[in-house]
Amino acid sequence: MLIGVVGDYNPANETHTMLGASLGHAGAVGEWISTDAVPSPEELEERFAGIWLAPASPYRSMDGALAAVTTARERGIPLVAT
Amino acid sequence: MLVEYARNVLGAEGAEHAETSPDAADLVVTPLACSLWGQEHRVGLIPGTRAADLYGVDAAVEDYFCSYGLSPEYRPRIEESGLRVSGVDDEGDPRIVELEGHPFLVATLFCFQTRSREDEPHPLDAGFADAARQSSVVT
Repeated sequence: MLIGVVGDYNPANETHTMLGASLGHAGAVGEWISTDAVPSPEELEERFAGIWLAPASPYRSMDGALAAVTTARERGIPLVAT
Repeated sequence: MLVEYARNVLGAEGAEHAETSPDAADLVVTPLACSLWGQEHRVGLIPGTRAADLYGVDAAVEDYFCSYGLSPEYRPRIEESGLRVSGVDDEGDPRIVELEGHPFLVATLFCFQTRSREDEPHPLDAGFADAARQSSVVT
């Protein structure tokens, strides 16, 4: 089961590096999506069972992060934001 | 998540996050009285919420890497609209919110991924994955 992890991956950020392992513990696999490369709502819904909005300070693209939340909220896709 | 919700559900088109737009007139996310960066704190779970059901306890300790939270001014509008506060700190300030009527839409001020273990996934981690599994089964 694939989860779209929306955020700008930073290997120096512990909350990012631990996120993938955390998903693994729950039987899921995460695929990082940069906030400036968030796909269309249709593609998000088709490819990902859920969306995890990763922590950021700040996002490279606030609009991209917001679009992913809108898609999850409007289409009933499970979303967690940490 | 709160910025998206304020703009598109509450109709506050100019709602902003204080970290990226500190001078904005309409802030839904504001600086906390004290930064919680690198600290661990107790979170009380509100009975009857999804978060409380998943945790199965009254309170938990979580790791914070955060200096911002839901604006106290916005809280009444947020809660009245169906985005429920399901976890609070010892002062009653929001630490978890969840959207009623959605398969799973949960936002936390803390980072629960740091407390997930291979033999014991964090309750919110497991709950999120279960919801995703169920939603992807629908064909």
